[in-house]
Amino acid sequence: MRSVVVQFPGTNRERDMIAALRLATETEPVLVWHADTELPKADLIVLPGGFSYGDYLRAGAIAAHSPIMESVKRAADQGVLVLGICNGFQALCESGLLPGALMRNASLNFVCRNVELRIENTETPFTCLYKRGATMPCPVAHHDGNYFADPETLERLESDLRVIFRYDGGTNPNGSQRNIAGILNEGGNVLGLMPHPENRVEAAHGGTEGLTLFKSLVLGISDRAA
Amino acid sequence: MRQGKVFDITMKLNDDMDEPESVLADMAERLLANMVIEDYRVEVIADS
Repeated sequence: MRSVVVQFPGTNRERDMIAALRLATETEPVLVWHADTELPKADLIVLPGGFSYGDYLRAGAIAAHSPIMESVKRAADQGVLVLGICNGFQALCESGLLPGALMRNASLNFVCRNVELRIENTETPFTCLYKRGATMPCPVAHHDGNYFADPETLERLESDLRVIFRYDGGTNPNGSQRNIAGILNEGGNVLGLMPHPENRVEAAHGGTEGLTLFKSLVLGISDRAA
Repeated sequence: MRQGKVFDITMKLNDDMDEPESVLADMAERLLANMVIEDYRVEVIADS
């Protein structure tokens, strides 16, 4: 599996992401700089977490307009899998690859804690090894994770089963509508989520439930190729 | 309660340019405002 991790100025989770991908795929991801204009051939493109461009203007707004994003959009249009976590999710929304927006947390505070995530749809290459309806603990660390979309968009997300992750058990950390933690695009190949599964992939993290997402990708990508 | 940002943008106008209001509206909609959650207002103040 060929995976690419995009690094913007201010990205800070690229090494965690590379470690998780290496663990799940036993291959070496390629790190790509935001100013590059061409992506290497890839099965998976990851926009990791952090504070790209210092969150100036809005979280993810400048990243969405950086040179590499034209290639990311082209690849997404061609069906390549794209995963955006935390700041990557914000950039995907700002770029229009995912609907809606991530607003400031309802508490107006930065939150850094574990939440309970419920897996709502396992018919995706990102979640195919999870059990539908299962929950898992997962860390979050963000200031702008309050998912918002207009009522029509929310209804479409729900009816298309494109809400993939939801905060469960009263652990919504940011005021997101309908406890939404992660959504899929219409094409089913672009996923954004606020929590950090890459930070729950080994015993030292307190659990390995996050690794299942990356192992799902390995299976999902090989199924797509077959 | 309303919260917002104000951008003071200095423009040098050329003959072949669109009206400043439309240039600024384009800037707002493409980058400065996120139209999912924000709105914008443009006020052009001529240089004296």
